[in-house]
Amino acid sequence: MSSIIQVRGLTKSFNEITAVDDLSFTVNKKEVYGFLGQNGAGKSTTIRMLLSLIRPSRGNIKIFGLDLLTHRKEILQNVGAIIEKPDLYKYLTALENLRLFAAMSGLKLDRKQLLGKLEKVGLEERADSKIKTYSQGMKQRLGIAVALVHDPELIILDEPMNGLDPQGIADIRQLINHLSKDLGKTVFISSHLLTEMEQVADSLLIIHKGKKIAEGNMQELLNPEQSKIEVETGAAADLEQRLKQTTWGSKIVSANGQKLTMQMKREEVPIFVRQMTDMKEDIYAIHKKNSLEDYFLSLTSH
Amino acid sequence: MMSLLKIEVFKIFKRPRTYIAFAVIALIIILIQIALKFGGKEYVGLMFSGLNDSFEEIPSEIVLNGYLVCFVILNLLLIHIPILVALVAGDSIAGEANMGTLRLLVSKPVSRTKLLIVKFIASVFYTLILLIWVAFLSLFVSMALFGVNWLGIARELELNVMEANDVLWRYALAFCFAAIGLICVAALAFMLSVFADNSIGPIVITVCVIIVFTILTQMQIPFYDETIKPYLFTTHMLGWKGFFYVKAVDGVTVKGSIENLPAVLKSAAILILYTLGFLTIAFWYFNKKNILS
Repeated sequence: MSSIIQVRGLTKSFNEITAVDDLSFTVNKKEVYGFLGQNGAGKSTTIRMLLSLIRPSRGNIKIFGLDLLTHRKEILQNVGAIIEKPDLYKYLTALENLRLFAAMSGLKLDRKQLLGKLEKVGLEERADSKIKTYSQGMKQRLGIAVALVHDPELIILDEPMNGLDPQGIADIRQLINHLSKDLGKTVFISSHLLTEMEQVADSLLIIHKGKKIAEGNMQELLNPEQSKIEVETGAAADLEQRLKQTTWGSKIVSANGQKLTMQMKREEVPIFVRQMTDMKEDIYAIHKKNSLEDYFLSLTSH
Repeated sequence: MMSLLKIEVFKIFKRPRTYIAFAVIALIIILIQIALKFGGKEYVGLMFSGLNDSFEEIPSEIVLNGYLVCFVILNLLLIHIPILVALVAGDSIAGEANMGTLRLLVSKPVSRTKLLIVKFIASVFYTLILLIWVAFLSLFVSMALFGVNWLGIARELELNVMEANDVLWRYALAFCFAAIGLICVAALAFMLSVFADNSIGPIVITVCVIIVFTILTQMQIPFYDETIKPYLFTTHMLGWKGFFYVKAVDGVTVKGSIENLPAVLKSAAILILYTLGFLTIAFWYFNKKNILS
Protein backbone atom coordinates (compact mmCIF):
# COMPACT_ATOMS: atom_id res chain seq x y z
CA MET A 1 0.00 0.00 0.00
CA SER A 2 1.52 3.34 -1.02
CA SER A 3 1.82 6.09 1.55
CA ILE A 4 0.27 9.50 1.02
CA ILE A 5 1.59 11.28 4.11
CA GLN A 6 4.94 10.50 5.71
CA VAL A 7 5.82 12.49 8.80
CA ARG A 8 9.17 11.97 10.50
CA GLY A 9 10.36 13.57 13.74
CA LEU A 10 7.96 16.48 13.45
CA THR A 11 8.48 19.01 16.23
CA LYS A 12 7.07 22.45 16.80
CA SER A 13 8.03 24.69 19.68
CA PHE A 14 6.54 28.07 20.50
CA ASN A 15 9.13 29.76 22.69
CA GLU A 16 9.41 27.44 25.70
CA ILE A 17 6.38 25.30 24.89
CA THR A 18 6.71 22.21 22.71
CA ALA A 19 3.32 21.78 21.04
CA VAL A 20 4.34 18.80 18.89
CA ASP A 21 7.19 16.60 19.99
CA ASP A 22 9.03 14.26 17.62
CA LEU A 23 5.89 13.00 15.89
CA SER A 24 6.17 10.34 13.19
CA PHE A 25 3.38 8.61 11.30
CA THR A 26 2.37 7.32 7.90
CA VAL A 27 -1.00 7.63 6.22
CA ASN A 28 -1.68 5.15 3.43
CA LYS A 29 -3.62 5.71 0.25
CA LYS A 30 -7.43 5.40 0.40
CA GLU A 31 -7.27 5.21 4.18
CA VAL A 32 -9.44 7.12 6.66
CA TYR A 33 -6.83 8.07 9.22
CA GLY A 34 -8.15 9.22 12.57
CA PHE A 35 -6.13 11.71 14.57
CA LEU A 36 -7.05 11.80 18.25
CA GLY A 37 -5.95 13.83 21.18
CA GLN A 38 -7.34 15.95 23.97
CA ASN A 39 -7.69 19.70 23.60
CA GLY A 40 -4.22 21.20 23.42
CA ALA A 41 -2.61 17.86 22.56
CA GLY A 42 -1.11 19.33 19.38
CA LYS A 43 -3.62 18.14 16.76
CA SER A 44 -4.31 21.51 15.18
CA THR A 45 -0.63 22.45 15.21
CA THR A 46 0.18 19.21 13.39
CA ILE A 47 -2.58 19.78 10.83
CA ARG A 48 -1.39 23.35 10.28
CA MET A 49 2.12 22.04 9.66
CA LEU A 50 0.71 19.55 7.12
CA LEU A 51 -0.88 22.49 5.31
CA SER A 52 2.25 24.68 5.59
CA LEU A 53 0.47 27.24 7.76
CA ILE A 54 3.07 26.68 10.45
CA ARG A 55 6.73 25.99 9.83
CA PRO A 56 8.04 23.01 11.83
CA SER A 57 10.91 23.58 14.25
CA ARG A 58 12.30 20.19 13.27
CA GLY A 59 11.33 17.17 11.23
CA ASN A 60 10.14 16.39 7.78
CA ILE A 61 6.77 16.12 6.03
CA LYS A 62 6.35 14.29 2.76
CA ILE A 63 3.00 14.27 0.99
CA PHE A 64 2.51 12.28 -2.23
CA GLY A 65 6.21 11.43 -1.86
CA LEU A 66 7.22 15.10 -2.15
CA ASP A 67 8.84 17.28 0.48
CA LEU A 68 6.32 19.87 1.67
CA LEU A 69 8.98 22.51 2.14
CA THR A 70 10.18 22.38 -1.45
CA HIS A 71 7.04 21.23 -3.30
CA ARG A 72 4.37 23.15 -1.43
CA LYS A 73 2.41 24.27 -4.48
CA GLU A 74 2.27 20.85 -6.19
CA ILE A 75 1.20 19.22 -2.95
CA LEU A 76 -1.49 21.73 -1.99
CA GLN A 77 -2.92 21.53 -5.52
CA ASN A 78 -4.10 18.08 -4.52
CA VAL A 79 -5.13 18.69 -0.91
CA GLY A 80 -8.50 19.88 0.37
CA ALA A 81 -8.92 20.94 3.96
CA ILE A 82 -11.17 22.23 6.68
CA ILE A 83 -9.12 23.71 9.49
CA GLU A 84 -10.97 23.96 12.80
CA LYS A 85 -14.17 25.68 11.73
CA PRO A 86 -15.04 26.42 8.13
CA ASP A 87 -14.86 30.21 8.21
CA LEU A 88 -15.81 31.64 4.85
CA TYR A 89 -16.70 35.12 3.56
CA LYS A 90 -19.98 35.90 5.32
CA TYR A 91 -20.81 38.76 2.99
CA LEU A 92 -20.60 36.51 -0.06
CA THR A 93 -23.03 33.84 -1.23
CA ALA A 94 -22.23 30.13 -1.16
CA LEU A 95 -21.76 30.16 -4.91
CA GLU A 96 -19.39 33.15 -4.75
CA ASN A 97 -17.35 31.53 -1.97
CA LEU A 98 -17.08 28.29 -3.92
CA ARG A 99 -16.14 30.08 -7.16
CA LEU A 100 -13.51 32.12 -5.33
CA PHE A 101 -11.79 29.13 -3.72
CA ALA A 102 -12.02 27.11 -6.94
CA ALA A 103 -10.23 29.95 -8.70
CA MET A 104 -7.54 29.92 -6.01
CA SER A 105 -6.92 26.28 -6.90
CA GLY A 106 -6.66 27.26 -10.56
CA LEU A 107 -10.16 26.16 -11.58
CA LYS A 108 -12.69 28.22 -13.49
CA LEU A 109 -16.09 26.66 -12.91
CA ASP A 110 -19.36 27.85 -14.39
CA ARG A 111 -22.59 28.20 -12.41
CA LYS A 112 -23.84 24.76 -13.41
CA GLN A 113 -20.62 23.07 -12.26
CA LEU A 114 -20.66 25.00 -8.99
CA LEU A 115 -24.29 24.11 -8.37
CA GLY A 116 -23.35 20.47 -8.95
CA LYS A 117 -20.70 20.76 -6.22
CA LEU A 118 -23.20 22.37 -3.85
CA GLU A 119 -25.78 19.69 -4.64
CA LYS A 120 -23.40 17.06 -3.24
CA VAL A 121 -23.61 18.73 0.17
CA GLY A 122 -27.31 19.57 -0.14
CA LEU A 123 -26.92 23.32 -0.50
CA GLU A 124 -27.92 23.91 -4.12
CA GLU A 125 -31.20 25.58 -3.10
CA ARG A 126 -29.33 28.09 -0.92
CA ALA A 127 -26.57 28.70 -3.45
CA ASP A 128 -27.39 32.40 -3.77
CA SER A 129 -27.87 33.08 -0.06
CA LYS A 130 -25.20 34.95 1.84
CA ILE A 131 -23.24 32.84 4.32
CA LYS A 132 -24.24 35.08 7.21
CA THR A 133 -27.76 33.58 6.89
CA TYR A 134 -26.45 29.99 7.15
CA SER A 135 -26.72 27.73 10.19
CA GLN A 136 -23.55 26.17 11.64
CA GLY A 137 -24.36 22.87 9.95
CA MET A 138 -24.81 24.53 6.57
CA LYS A 139 -21.51 26.37 6.98
CA GLN A 140 -19.84 23.08 7.79
CA ARG A 141 -21.28 21.46 4.67
CA LEU A 142 -20.21 24.42 2.56
CA GLY A 143 -16.75 24.15 4.10
CA ILE A 144 -16.62 20.56 2.89
CA ALA A 145 -17.77 21.62 -0.57
CA VAL A 146 -14.95 24.21 -0.60
CA ALA A 147 -12.44 21.56 0.51
CA LEU A 148 -13.58 19.22 -2.26
CA VAL A 149 -14.15 21.75 -5.03
CA HIS A 150 -10.91 20.92 -6.84
CA ASP A 151 -11.36 17.15 -6.41
CA PRO A 152 -8.27 16.64 -4.20
CA GLU A 153 -6.69 13.27 -3.58
CA LEU A 154 -6.01 13.99 0.10
CA ILE A 155 -8.65 15.52 2.34
CA ILE A 156 -7.66 16.90 5.73
CA LEU A 157 -10.54 17.54 8.10
CA ASP A 158 -9.95 19.15 11.45
CA GLU A 159 -12.95 18.53 13.72
CA PRO A 160 -15.46 18.40 10.82
CA MET A 161 -18.34 17.36 13.06
CA ASN A 162 -18.06 20.31 15.42
CA GLY A 163 -21.35 22.07 16.02
CA LEU A 164 -23.40 19.66 13.92
CA ASP A 165 -26.71 18.10 14.93
CA PRO A 166 -27.03 14.27 14.86
CA GLN A 167 -28.30 14.27 11.29
CA GLY A 168 -25.43 16.53 10.24
CA ILE A 169 -22.92 14.21 11.93
CA ALA A 170 -24.47 11.20 10.19
CA ASP A 171 -24.26 13.05 6.84
CA ILE A 172 -20.57 13.82 7.36
CA ARG A 173 -19.90 10.23 8.37
CA GLN A 174 -21.62 9.04 5.21
CA LEU A 175 -19.69 11.53 3.12
CA ILE A 176 -16.34 10.41 4.58
CA ASN A 177 -17.20 6.79 3.85
CA HIS A 178 -18.22 7.75 0.31
CA LEU A 179 -14.99 9.69 -0.24
CA SER A 180 -12.85 6.86 0.99
CA LYS A 181 -14.66 3.71 -0.10
CA ASP A 182 -16.32 4.87 -3.34
CA LEU A 183 -13.97 7.57 -4.61
CA GLY A 184 -10.71 6.20 -3.25
CA LYS A 185 -9.71 9.42 -1.48
CA THR A 186 -7.39 9.51 1.49
CA VAL A 187 -8.96 11.21 4.49
CA PHE A 188 -6.99 12.54 7.45
CA ILE A 189 -9.46 13.46 10.13
CA SER A 190 -9.14 14.81 13.64
CA SER A 191 -12.10 14.78 15.96
CA HIS A 192 -12.88 14.67 19.62
CA LEU A 193 -16.10 12.72 18.89
CA LEU A 194 -14.60 9.34 19.63
CA THR A 195 -17.68 7.27 18.79
CA GLU A 196 -17.83 8.91 15.39
CA MET A 197 -14.13 8.32 14.85
CA GLU A 198 -14.63 4.70 15.76
CA GLN A 199 -17.19 4.41 12.98
CA VAL A 200 -15.23 6.05 10.19
CA ALA A 201 -11.51 5.56 10.82
CA ASP A 202 -9.46 2.65 9.47
CA SER A 203 -6.34 3.64 11.41
CA LEU A 204 -5.70 5.82 14.40
CA LEU A 205 -3.01 8.04 15.77
CA ILE A 206 -3.38 9.21 19.34
CA ILE A 207 -1.26 12.05 20.65
CA HIS A 208 -0.97 13.39 24.14
CA LYS A 209 0.93 16.54 25.11
CA GLY A 210 2.40 16.64 21.61
CA LYS A 211 3.75 13.08 21.70
CA LYS A 212 2.48 9.99 19.92
CA ILE A 213 1.12 7.50 22.43
CA ALA A 214 -0.55 5.01 20.09
CA GLU A 215 -0.81 4.33 16.39
CA GLY A 216 -2.24 1.48 14.40
CA ASN A 217 -5.15 -0.22 12.79
CA MET A 218 -8.41 0.43 14.62
CA GLN A 219 -9.12 -3.30 15.16
CA GLU A 220 -5.66 -3.93 16.56
CA LEU A 221 -5.86 -0.99 18.92
CA LEU A 222 -9.25 -1.88 20.30
CA ASN A 223 -8.12 -5.48 20.88
CA PRO A 224 -11.22 -7.48 19.98
CA GLU A 225 -9.59 -10.57 21.52
CA GLN A 226 -10.44 -9.16 24.94
CA SER A 227 -14.02 -7.90 24.80
CA LYS A 228 -15.38 -5.91 27.65
CA ILE A 229 -19.12 -6.52 28.02
CA GLU A 230 -21.78 -4.95 30.16
CA VAL A 231 -24.52 -7.32 31.35
CA GLU A 232 -27.82 -5.74 32.29
CA THR A 233 -29.59 -7.80 34.94
CA GLY A 234 -32.04 -7.48 37.87
CA ALA A 235 -29.40 -7.09 40.59
CA ALA A 236 -25.77 -7.07 39.52
CA ALA A 237 -24.44 -7.81 43.02
CA ASP A 238 -26.50 -11.03 43.29
CA LEU A 239 -25.37 -12.23 39.87
CA GLU A 240 -21.81 -11.37 40.81
CA GLN A 241 -22.05 -13.65 43.88
CA ARG A 242 -23.42 -16.55 41.84
CA LEU A 243 -20.82 -16.10 39.07
CA LYS A 244 -17.99 -16.04 41.59
CA GLN A 245 -18.79 -19.66 42.32
CA THR A 246 -18.12 -20.49 38.65
CA THR A 247 -15.17 -20.06 36.32
CA TRP A 248 -16.75 -16.76 35.14
CA GLY A 249 -16.02 -15.18 38.49
CA SER A 250 -12.46 -14.29 37.49
CA LYS A 251 -13.74 -12.34 34.51
CA ILE A 252 -15.83 -9.88 36.52
CA VAL A 253 -14.56 -6.31 36.39
CA SER A 254 -17.26 -4.52 38.39
CA ALA A 255 -20.85 -4.71 39.53
CA ASN A 256 -22.89 -1.61 39.87
CA GLY A 257 -26.69 -1.43 40.32
CA GLN A 258 -28.15 -3.41 37.47
CA LYS A 259 -24.94 -3.53 35.44
CA LEU A 260 -22.22 -6.11 35.64
CA THR A 261 -19.07 -5.46 33.65
CA MET A 262 -16.94 -8.41 32.56
CA GLN A 263 -13.87 -8.95 30.41
CA MET A 264 -13.50 -12.09 28.32
CA LYS A 265 -12.31 -13.36 24.98
CA ARG A 266 -14.57 -12.64 22.05
CA GLU A 267 -15.34 -16.36 21.45
CA GLU A 268 -16.31 -16.80 25.11
CA VAL A 269 -19.21 -14.36 24.83
CA PRO A 270 -21.73 -16.78 23.17
CA ILE A 271 -20.74 -19.52 25.66
CA PHE A 272 -21.40 -17.11 28.53
CA VAL A 273 -24.80 -16.17 27.04
CA ARG A 274 -25.77 -19.87 26.72
CA GLN A 275 -24.74 -20.60 30.31
CA MET A 276 -26.73 -17.65 31.62
CA THR A 277 -29.76 -19.06 29.84
CA ASP A 278 -29.09 -22.50 31.34
CA MET A 279 -28.73 -20.93 34.79
CA LYS A 280 -32.07 -19.20 34.16
CA GLU A 281 -30.54 -15.84 34.96
CA ASP A 282 -32.65 -12.81 33.98
CA ILE A 283 -30.48 -11.06 31.40
CA TYR A 284 -32.11 -8.03 29.85
CA ALA A 285 -29.29 -6.92 27.57
CA ILE A 286 -25.60 -7.39 26.84
CA HIS A 287 -23.57 -4.47 25.44
CA LYS A 288 -20.08 -4.53 24.06
CA LYS A 289 -18.07 -2.02 26.07
CA ASN A 290 -14.82 -2.12 24.20
CA SER A 291 -15.03 1.41 22.86
CA LEU A 292 -12.50 3.79 21.52
CA GLU A 293 -13.44 6.08 24.36
CA ASP A 294 -12.29 3.51 26.96
CA TYR A 295 -9.09 2.95 25.11
CA PHE A 296 -8.47 6.66 24.64
CA LEU A 297 -9.13 7.43 28.29
CA SER A 298 -6.92 4.58 29.43
CA LEU A 299 -4.05 6.14 27.50
CA THR A 300 -4.58 9.78 28.30
CA SER A 301 -6.06 9.91 31.78
CA HIS A 302 -2.79 9.45 33.64
CA MET B 1 -2.02 36.39 -11.03
CA MET B 2 -4.85 38.27 -12.78
CA SER B 3 -7.51 35.85 -11.56
CA LEU B 4 -6.20 36.21 -7.99
CA LEU B 5 -6.25 39.98 -8.33
CA LYS B 6 -9.82 39.87 -9.61
CA ILE B 7 -10.76 37.80 -6.55
CA GLU B 8 -9.22 40.35 -4.18
CA VAL B 9 -10.83 43.34 -5.90
CA PHE B 10 -14.14 41.47 -5.97
CA LYS B 11 -13.90 40.85 -2.23
CA ILE B 12 -13.13 44.51 -1.47
CA PHE B 13 -15.99 45.87 -3.53
CA LYS B 14 -18.47 43.27 -2.27
CA ARG B 15 -18.18 44.59 1.28
CA PRO B 16 -20.69 47.30 2.12
CA ARG B 17 -18.21 49.08 4.38
CA THR B 18 -15.94 49.73 1.39
CA TYR B 19 -18.47 52.27 0.21
CA ILE B 20 -18.45 54.19 3.50
CA ALA B 21 -15.29 55.99 2.37
CA PHE B 22 -16.91 57.01 -0.92
CA ALA B 23 -20.01 58.26 0.90
CA VAL B 24 -17.97 60.16 3.51
CA ILE B 25 -15.85 61.86 0.86
CA ALA B 26 -18.91 62.81 -1.20
CA LEU B 27 -20.61 64.22 1.90
CA ILE B 28 -17.60 66.34 2.94
CA ILE B 29 -16.93 67.66 -0.55
CA ILE B 30 -20.57 68.53 -1.13
CA LEU B 31 -20.71 70.32 2.24
CA ILE B 32 -17.59 72.34 1.35
CA GLN B 33 -19.02 73.19 -2.06
CA ILE B 34 -22.34 74.32 -0.52
CA ALA B 35 -20.47 76.43 2.05
CA LEU B 36 -18.34 78.09 -0.62
CA LYS B 37 -21.31 78.63 -2.92
CA PHE B 38 -23.20 80.55 -0.27
CA GLY B 39 -20.45 81.98 1.91
CA GLY B 40 -17.52 82.00 -0.50
CA LYS B 41 -17.01 85.76 -0.55
CA GLU B 42 -16.12 85.91 3.13
CA TYR B 43 -13.95 82.83 2.80
CA VAL B 44 -12.00 84.32 -0.12
CA GLY B 45 -11.56 87.56 1.82
CA LEU B 46 -10.16 85.60 4.75
CA MET B 47 -7.96 83.47 2.54
CA PHE B 48 -6.27 86.42 0.87
CA SER B 49 -6.38 88.79 3.84
CA GLY B 50 -2.61 88.96 4.14
CA LEU B 51 -2.12 90.12 0.57
CA ASN B 52 -2.04 93.67 -0.81
CA ASP B 53 -5.14 95.79 -1.27
CA SER B 54 -5.31 95.63 -5.06
CA PHE B 55 -6.40 92.04 -4.83
CA GLU B 56 -9.53 93.01 -2.93
CA GLU B 57 -10.78 94.90 -5.98
CA ILE B 58 -11.18 91.70 -8.01
CA PRO B 59 -14.73 90.33 -7.78
CA SER B 60 -14.89 87.20 -5.65
CA GLU B 61 -16.92 85.42 -8.40
CA ILE B 62 -13.75 85.43 -10.52
CA VAL B 63 -11.41 84.33 -7.75
CA LEU B 64 -13.78 81.72 -6.39
CA ASN B 65 -13.91 79.42 -9.38
CA GLY B 66 -13.82 75.63 -9.74
CA TYR B 67 -10.01 75.50 -9.67
CA LEU B 68 -9.74 77.38 -6.38
CA VAL B 69 -12.56 75.32 -4.83
CA CYS B 70 -10.71 72.13 -5.79
CA PHE B 71 -7.50 73.49 -4.22
CA VAL B 72 -9.36 74.34 -1.01
CA ILE B 73 -10.94 70.87 -0.89
CA LEU B 74 -7.64 69.09 -1.48
CA ASN B 75 -5.96 71.23 1.16
CA LEU B 76 -8.59 70.15 3.66
CA LEU B 77 -9.03 66.53 2.54
CA LEU B 78 -5.66 65.14 1.57
CA ILE B 79 -4.75 64.90 5.24
CA HIS B 80 -7.88 62.87 5.99
CA ILE B 81 -8.19 60.57 2.98
CA PRO B 82 -5.30 58.43 4.30
CA ILE B 83 -7.53 57.48 7.20
CA LEU B 84 -10.06 56.08 4.75
CA VAL B 85 -7.31 54.27 2.84
CA ALA B 86 -6.19 52.66 6.11
CA LEU B 87 -9.68 51.20 6.56
CA VAL B 88 -9.17 48.88 3.62
CA ALA B 89 -5.39 48.38 3.58
CA GLY B 90 -5.30 47.76 7.35
CA ASP B 91 -8.01 45.15 6.98
CA SER B 92 -6.31 43.40 4.10
CA ILE B 93 -4.52 40.60 6.00
CA ALA B 94 -5.66 41.17 9.59
CA GLY B 95 -9.31 41.13 8.48
CA GLU B 96 -8.80 37.74 6.84
CA ALA B 97 -7.14 36.47 10.01
CA ASN B 98 -10.00 37.80 12.10
CA MET B 99 -12.62 36.17 9.85
CA GLY B 100 -10.69 32.89 9.92
CA THR B 101 -10.27 32.85 6.15
CA LEU B 102 -6.53 33.52 6.16
CA ARG B 103 -5.72 29.89 7.02
CA LEU B 104 -7.87 28.75 4.10
CA LEU B 105 -6.16 31.20 1.72
CA VAL B 106 -2.66 30.24 2.82
CA SER B 107 -3.44 26.52 2.52
CA LYS B 108 -4.25 27.01 -1.18
CA PRO B 109 -1.61 26.35 -3.86
CA VAL B 110 -0.61 30.00 -4.07
CA SER B 111 2.67 31.26 -2.64
CA ARG B 112 2.49 33.66 0.28
CA THR B 113 4.46 36.24 -1.70
CA LYS B 114 1.98 36.09 -4.57
CA LEU B 115 -0.94 36.31 -2.15
CA LEU B 116 0.56 39.40 -0.55
CA ILE B 117 1.31 41.01 -3.91
CA VAL B 118 -2.26 40.66 -5.14
CA LYS B 119 -3.64 41.85 -1.83
CA PHE B 120 -1.48 44.95 -1.91
CA ILE B 121 -2.30 45.66 -5.55
CA ALA B 122 -5.99 45.34 -4.68
CA SER B 123 -5.51 47.88 -1.85
CA VAL B 124 -3.73 50.20 -4.30
CA PHE B 125 -6.57 49.74 -6.78
CA TYR B 126 -9.08 50.75 -4.10
CA THR B 127 -6.92 53.76 -3.19
CA LEU B 128 -6.77 54.91 -6.79
CA ILE B 129 -10.52 54.49 -7.31
CA LEU B 130 -11.05 56.55 -4.14
CA LEU B 131 -8.70 59.23 -5.46
CA ILE B 132 -10.47 59.30 -8.83
CA TRP B 133 -13.73 59.77 -6.92
CA VAL B 134 -12.14 62.70 -5.04
CA ALA B 135 -10.85 64.15 -8.31
CA PHE B 136 -14.24 63.85 -9.96
CA LEU B 137 -16.10 65.52 -7.10
CA SER B 138 -13.55 68.14 -6.13
CA LEU B 139 -12.33 69.16 -9.57
CA PHE B 140 -14.91 68.35 -12.22
CA VAL B 141 -18.05 68.93 -10.14
CA SER B 142 -16.51 72.17 -8.77
CA MET B 143 -15.65 73.28 -12.33
CA ALA B 144 -19.29 72.63 -13.29
CA LEU B 145 -20.67 74.46 -10.24
CA PHE B 146 -18.27 77.40 -9.98
CA GLY B 147 -16.97 77.77 -13.53
CA VAL B 148 -13.36 78.10 -14.62
CA ASN B 149 -11.03 81.08 -14.37
CA TRP B 150 -7.46 81.86 -13.37
CA LEU B 151 -6.22 80.26 -10.17
CA GLY B 152 -4.74 82.31 -7.38
CA ILE B 153 -2.91 80.58 -4.56
CA ALA B 154 -1.95 82.61 -1.50
CA ARG B 155 1.50 81.80 -0.07
CA GLU B 156 2.27 83.73 3.05
CA LEU B 157 2.67 87.24 1.64
CA GLU B 158 2.70 86.47 -2.06
CA LEU B 159 0.18 85.32 -4.57
CA ASN B 160 0.82 82.69 -7.22
CA VAL B 161 -1.43 83.25 -10.18
CA MET B 162 -1.95 80.72 -12.95
CA GLU B 163 -3.93 81.29 -16.09
CA ALA B 164 -6.98 79.08 -16.57
CA ASN B 165 -5.31 77.10 -19.36
CA ASP B 166 -2.23 76.53 -17.16
CA VAL B 167 -4.03 74.72 -14.33
CA LEU B 168 -5.52 71.41 -15.41
CA TRP B 169 -2.17 69.69 -16.01
CA ARG B 170 -1.07 70.82 -12.56
CA TYR B 171 -4.07 69.07 -11.04
CA ALA B 172 -3.35 65.94 -13.07
CA LEU B 173 0.20 65.84 -11.62
CA ALA B 174 -1.03 66.79 -8.15
CA PHE B 175 -3.44 63.85 -8.16
CA CYS B 176 -0.66 61.54 -9.38
CA PHE B 177 1.51 62.81 -6.52
CA ALA B 178 -1.37 62.32 -4.08
CA ALA B 179 -1.66 58.75 -5.35
CA ILE B 180 1.99 58.14 -4.40
CA GLY B 181 1.34 59.59 -0.94
CA LEU B 182 -1.80 57.54 -0.39
CA ILE B 183 -0.13 54.35 -1.63
CA CYS B 184 2.56 55.02 0.98
CA VAL B 185 -0.12 55.18 3.67
CA ALA B 186 -1.73 52.03 2.25
CA ALA B 187 1.67 50.29 2.49
CA LEU B 188 2.02 51.34 6.14
CA ALA B 189 -1.46 50.03 7.03
CA PHE B 190 -0.81 46.90 4.97
CA MET B 191 2.47 46.22 6.78
CA LEU B 192 0.80 46.62 10.18
CA SER B 193 -2.02 44.36 8.98
CA VAL B 194 0.45 41.52 8.38
CA PHE B 195 1.48 41.64 12.04
CA ALA B 196 -2.06 41.58 13.44
CA ASP B 197 -4.96 39.15 13.69
CA ASN B 198 -7.55 41.87 14.04
CA SER B 199 -7.96 44.83 11.70
CA ILE B 200 -8.75 47.37 14.42
CA GLY B 201 -5.11 47.46 15.56
CA PRO B 202 -3.50 48.27 12.19
CA ILE B 203 -6.20 50.80 11.31
CA VAL B 204 -5.94 52.62 14.65
CA ILE B 205 -2.12 52.60 14.62
CA THR B 206 -2.03 53.94 11.05
CA VAL B 207 -4.48 56.70 11.94
CA CYS B 208 -2.47 57.58 15.07
CA VAL B 209 0.79 57.68 13.09
CA ILE B 210 -0.80 59.99 10.52
CA ILE B 211 -2.26 62.28 13.19
CA VAL B 212 0.98 62.51 15.21
CA PHE B 213 3.17 62.95 12.11
CA THR B 214 0.81 65.56 10.67
CA ILE B 215 0.87 67.55 13.90
CA LEU B 216 4.68 67.41 13.89
CA THR B 217 4.72 68.40 10.21
CA GLN B 218 2.55 71.43 10.84
CA MET B 219 4.25 72.60 14.04
CA GLN B 220 6.23 75.75 13.41
CA ILE B 221 9.21 74.90 15.59
CA PRO B 222 12.63 75.51 13.96
CA PHE B 223 14.22 72.61 15.87
CA TYR B 224 11.79 70.12 14.30
CA ASP B 225 12.17 71.69 10.83
CA GLU B 226 15.67 70.28 10.56
CA THR B 227 15.62 67.24 12.83
CA ILE B 228 12.32 65.45 12.37
CA LYS B 229 10.21 66.97 9.61
CA PRO B 230 12.45 66.02 6.67
CA TYR B 231 12.11 62.35 7.66
CA LEU B 232 8.34 62.19 8.17
CA PHE B 233 6.40 60.84 5.21
CA THR B 234 3.53 63.17 6.09
CA THR B 235 5.81 66.14 5.34
CA HIS B 236 6.40 64.84 1.84
CA MET B 237 2.73 64.02 1.31
CA LEU B 238 2.17 67.78 1.09
CA GLY B 239 4.49 67.89 -1.91
CA TRP B 240 1.50 68.00 -4.30
CA LYS B 241 1.22 71.71 -3.52
CA GLY B 242 4.53 72.21 -5.28
CA PHE B 243 2.78 71.93 -8.63
CA PHE B 244 0.91 75.16 -7.81
CA TYR B 245 3.97 77.17 -6.79
CA VAL B 246 5.15 78.95 -9.88
CA LYS B 247 8.13 80.96 -11.09
CA ALA B 248 7.56 84.64 -11.79
CA VAL B 249 9.58 87.19 -13.75
CA ASP B 250 8.88 90.83 -12.97
CA GLY B 251 5.77 89.81 -11.08
CA VAL B 252 4.40 87.86 -14.05
CA THR B 253 3.95 84.11 -13.79
CA VAL B 254 6.00 82.01 -16.19
CA LYS B 255 3.40 79.80 -17.80
CA GLY B 256 4.03 76.07 -17.34
CA SER B 257 6.62 76.64 -14.62
CA ILE B 258 7.08 74.87 -11.32
CA GLU B 259 9.05 76.80 -8.74
CA ASN B 260 10.97 73.87 -7.24
CA LEU B 261 10.49 70.70 -9.26
CA PRO B 262 13.51 68.89 -7.70
CA ALA B 263 11.93 69.30 -4.24
CA VAL B 264 8.67 67.82 -5.51
CA LEU B 265 10.49 64.91 -7.13
CA LYS B 266 12.54 64.39 -3.98
CA SER B 267 9.37 64.18 -1.91
CA ALA B 268 7.90 61.66 -4.36
CA ALA B 269 11.09 59.58 -4.21
CA ILE B 270 11.05 59.61 -0.40
CA LEU B 271 7.42 58.45 -0.37
CA ILE B 272 8.29 55.63 -2.79
CA LEU B 273 11.21 54.63 -0.56
CA TYR B 274 8.93 54.56 2.47
CA THR B 275 6.46 52.40 0.50
CA LEU B 276 9.18 49.96 -0.49
CA GLY B 277 10.43 49.82 3.09
CA PHE B 278 6.97 49.06 4.48
CA LEU B 279 6.40 46.40 1.84
CA THR B 280 9.79 44.74 2.41
CA ILE B 281 8.99 44.35 6.10
CA ALA B 282 5.50 43.04 5.28
CA PHE B 283 6.82 40.40 2.84
CA TRP B 284 9.66 39.36 5.14
CA TYR B 285 7.37 38.86 8.10
CA PHE B 286 4.43 37.25 6.28
CA ASN B 287 6.62 34.64 4.63
CA LYS B 288 7.80 33.34 7.98
CA LYS B 289 4.61 33.96 9.94
CA ASN B 290 2.89 31.05 11.67
CA ILE B 291 -0.79 31.23 10.76
CA LEU B 292 -2.46 30.55 14.09
CA SER B 293 -5.72 32.44 13.59
